[in-house]
Amino acid sequence: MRGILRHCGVAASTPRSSGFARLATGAFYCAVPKLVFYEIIDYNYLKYAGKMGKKSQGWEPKIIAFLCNWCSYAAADLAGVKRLKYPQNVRIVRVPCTGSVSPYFILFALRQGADAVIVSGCAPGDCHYRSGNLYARRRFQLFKNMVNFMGMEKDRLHFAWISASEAELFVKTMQEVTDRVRTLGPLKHIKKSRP
Amino acid sequence: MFTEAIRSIAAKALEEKRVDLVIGFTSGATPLTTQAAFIEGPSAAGKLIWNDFCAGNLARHLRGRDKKIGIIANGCASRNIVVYIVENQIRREDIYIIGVPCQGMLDRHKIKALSGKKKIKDIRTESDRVTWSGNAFTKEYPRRELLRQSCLYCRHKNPVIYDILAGEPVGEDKETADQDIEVLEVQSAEERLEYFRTLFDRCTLCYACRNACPVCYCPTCFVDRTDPRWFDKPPASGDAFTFHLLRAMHCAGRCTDCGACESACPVGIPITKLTRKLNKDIRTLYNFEAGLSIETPSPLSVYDLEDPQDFILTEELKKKARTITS
Repeated sequence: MRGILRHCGVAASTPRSSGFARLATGAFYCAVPKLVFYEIIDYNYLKYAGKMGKKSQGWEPKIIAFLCNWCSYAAADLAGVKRLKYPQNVRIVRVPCTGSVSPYFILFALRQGADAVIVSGCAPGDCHYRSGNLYARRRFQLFKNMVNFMGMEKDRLHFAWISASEAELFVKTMQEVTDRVRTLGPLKHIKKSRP
Repeated sequence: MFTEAIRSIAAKALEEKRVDLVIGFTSGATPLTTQAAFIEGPSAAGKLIWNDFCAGNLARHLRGRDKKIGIIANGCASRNIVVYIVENQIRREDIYIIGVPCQGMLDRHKIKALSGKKKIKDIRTESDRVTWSGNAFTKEYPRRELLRQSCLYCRHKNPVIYDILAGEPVGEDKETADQDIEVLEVQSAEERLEYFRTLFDRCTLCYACRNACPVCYCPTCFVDRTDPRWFDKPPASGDAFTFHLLRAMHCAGRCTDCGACESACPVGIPITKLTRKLNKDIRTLYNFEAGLSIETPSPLSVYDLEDPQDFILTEELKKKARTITS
């Protein structure tokens, strides 16, 4: 599990290290430029450095997408190859399998400043590891019910099956999620507030 | 109730060297509390008691012992023993289960709230009435109204496995519904959020619930991890919410709703609302209840190709596209 975290730069954000050191470690662990997960974690860095592009006027949702390496990440790749446009609000974290996505990761992202999370992987029967997504399906069903039960809007948390060839579906799904989160507004109640 | 029977069975088992240790309850430091007792000789068996406040779960003391252990187990504790056996934490042949049919335990938080700030000195149960008294006050209440939430909605009062039973089995209501969960479910998301926020505002993150829970036995709990650090110290806003949500998720498919977490809570947060909701979902979605059979694995460690997946966004989009075209 630690390996995955390192990969998406979660472990890189020790709360008390300096902004520059954190950017350095973040960049080190996120070899693929697309993995900009450290951006939301290091929003303090963004605030001070101001070099990473000015914040746009008004609120824009931040959406973290945990995509499985074998299907949904490939679909995102294909969307790029096909020059299909999908919302910039989506930040992608590549994971080996949806079965490896723990509820921790999702809550961690939400607490660090994401407004919504989508977990996407292979459809049932297509899993590279044969059954990872089937275990994940049970876990996410319960997790989503639980999160809704505790009062979070149901559109904050999404799960999807997108196979490697479905670039259009990927774009459509990301568009849908972004639209829904935009109508909801920013997530407040579990976001971590640091002094 | 069963105190005498439990004492004689424990003393006999220790005398016959059937077990090296008996784990039971003994009276706590104050009224309304009990604590675990570890009895190693037949002469000490007189310490054992069984009353309305045996709310802890003794199963959590079973792991990591190389002795043959006798344990006093009511419905939920026996189910936790089954969970341990399923998860390969203990072996059935090492455990001697002294089963006790359970009538439900009383909620000390309810009783304390009813008595105000007055100190309680004595409490007695006679059939369906509970009487308690202290300095210049006496109160009497129907027993059912003082039951803990978990006991009120209990479906398995008798032990599911045992070697010897300390009393006659009691009647069980298998159709008991989680009415309090249903009440919450029909509320709006904002109402539920407000409800849980007021509950968890009281939480001091003392982790007593985790320490009391028999299925919380990770060598390092996620709240204590330093790398990755999920929780900062001191706690930030939203930590309580996250902690209780994740702890409930860890117990998914393993929680027997024994209510030990809720009874251990020093500020009386009804934590079992979360685990009971999970249990309810698992029962309706996967037709499973934890700790009923040694053969059945935990629902999250198996899968079915036909599991419900209406919650998947792409399935929802596809369904919508289909209705538009047709």
